[in-house]
Amino acid sequence: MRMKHIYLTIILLGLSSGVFAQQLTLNAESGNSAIEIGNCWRFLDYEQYTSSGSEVISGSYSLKTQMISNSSSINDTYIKTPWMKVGSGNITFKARLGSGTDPISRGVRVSYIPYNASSPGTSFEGTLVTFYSYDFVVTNNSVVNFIVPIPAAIANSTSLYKIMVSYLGQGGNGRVLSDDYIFPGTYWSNPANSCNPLPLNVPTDTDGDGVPDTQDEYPNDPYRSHNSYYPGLSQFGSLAFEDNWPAKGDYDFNDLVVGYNFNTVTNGSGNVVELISTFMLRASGAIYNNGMAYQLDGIAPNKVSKVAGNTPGSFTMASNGAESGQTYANIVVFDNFFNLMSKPGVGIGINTERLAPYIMPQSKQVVTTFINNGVNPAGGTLTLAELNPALFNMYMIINRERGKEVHLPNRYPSSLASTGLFGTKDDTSNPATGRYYKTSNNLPWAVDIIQGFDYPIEKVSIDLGHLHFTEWAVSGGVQFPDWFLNLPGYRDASKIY
Amino acid sequence: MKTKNIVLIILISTLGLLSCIKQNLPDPGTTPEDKTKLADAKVPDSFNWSTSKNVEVSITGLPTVVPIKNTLTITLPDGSKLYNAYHDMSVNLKLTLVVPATVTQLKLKFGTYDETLNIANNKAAFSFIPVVTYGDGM
Repeated sequence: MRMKHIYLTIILLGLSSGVFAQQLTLNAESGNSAIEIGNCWRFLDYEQYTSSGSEVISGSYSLKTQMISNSSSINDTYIKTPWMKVGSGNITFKARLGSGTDPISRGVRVSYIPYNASSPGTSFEGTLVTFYSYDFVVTNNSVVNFIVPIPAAIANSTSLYKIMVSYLGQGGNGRVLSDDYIFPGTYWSNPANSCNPLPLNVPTDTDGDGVPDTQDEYPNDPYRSHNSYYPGLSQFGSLAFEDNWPAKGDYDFNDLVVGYNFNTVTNGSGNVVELISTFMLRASGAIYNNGMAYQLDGIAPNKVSKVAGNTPGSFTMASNGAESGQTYANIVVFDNFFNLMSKPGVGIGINTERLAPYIMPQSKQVVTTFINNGVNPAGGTLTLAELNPALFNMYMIINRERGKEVHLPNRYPSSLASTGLFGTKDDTSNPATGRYYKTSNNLPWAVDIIQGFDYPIEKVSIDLGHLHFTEWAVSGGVQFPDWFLNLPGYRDASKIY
Repeated sequence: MKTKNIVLIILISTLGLLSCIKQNLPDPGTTPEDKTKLADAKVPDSFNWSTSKNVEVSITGLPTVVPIKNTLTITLPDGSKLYNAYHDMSVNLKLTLVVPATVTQLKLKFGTYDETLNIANNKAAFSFIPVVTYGDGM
């Protein structure tokens, strides 16, 4: 990794010393001048590139000015390069007069603009110096090949300049066509920084991971650089389950209540290093010993290097910590809620009955590592876009019976789910149609609230505590999408724990 | 006549009392008892019971002269970082974010870019290739 740092330094030193001489070209062959503008070229009084056969000078496209009739200033119609370290030799380009009526005069001027760090109001452009001038013969439409020597004052300078080619003239309405511009030198603009110059010095990158310290959330860790959160930094979503599946329950959605937060850590290459999942165990109004897991939908188990912090109990894990026998990576967070939080001895479970003592919620962090100290997993790496939160398929395992999974509606079961239970009792799951974990009238056994959730007390249906829950559901989520908030008229506090 | 007046007074008083009682009754239109109970609710087959939604974000890269890398951050309007990674400006990117169902905009930052992306039909898009109006001088 240190070598990478040195290599980058050599490249940038090479660029600054002109060892890697380059040239800026402008030939319109992108067919879309917006691409050049994005790369910090500037055009004034120009039209989109022309592909008209009568106008193209070379290739498929050429540049075309707007009509010129009264242009006496070099600032009226021009092409301006990005910031560059100017090389030596000649600036070359081709130009000719386009069709139009009776021009009196048409000319070309070439100027350079020095960088002026104290002039942000002019985009750091200093005082312009014109060093080349040419006047067309207005009766001649032939292509002129321009060869313009770079002035000694700016050739091979370590300072930054822009070169500006201006077209001017009087009379008529003819345009000027041009093409094949070549400017010796090195590109030095930053399209991501308002086209201001690239930094002259190498930004500090202490850990050598290619990410400057100013942008690195782990500046001393070569294996990590950025954090992405779901649902947000220090924010917890909420999962609430019914555990009587495949039979209907009492809809108090407190048989297992868990908060969740995920931090996906990436490295300087944008690949996922680890998934730090934090679960806040809040309540379990259950007789059953319920567990919890999550499946990374579509992600092969061999993408995982190791898993730490979970308590899978007697469920069978592979050597990398993911669960054995699964098509996709499954991480068992815990096999039994009551092994992590002890019942107070009063009431049915934990934190669902007011008469029972309150038990402080427990936080459980599980780290799923993909790239382990720079070593890729057997199954290859994942980008942040490939491991997105839409794939986090969290579910409950009922009473430590491995096949009895309860997922959010229409989320896929794991490979270890007992498919024989689908379609039994009140469940109408049908793998053939992709329907899972719904009753005949589409009621679920689990709900996911992307932020905090105040769950009902024991044996009280959720709609009696959250008064707009049913309207939200019947309307397909259109009405009262904020039903879970504590707003006037939204809840009966006596029915919420 | 006296008896008739007494009956009238009692009748008026009773009506007034009933009127007061009625004012204290819950509005029949808003009583929870009249609402559909969850167990009896007919929920649309397509409903996913989620307070969030998946948003497909499409980012079009700009073919750059030299590699331009920077931290690409996509946040909720409140600043919550949902996507945050080192990114090459020339790369096209498609990703899925999970956001609260009520969110209508996302924020994108990359270098000095500070953009607001509108969410429409669960999609949001941004291009590093600028939109150019010709003749305006770009």
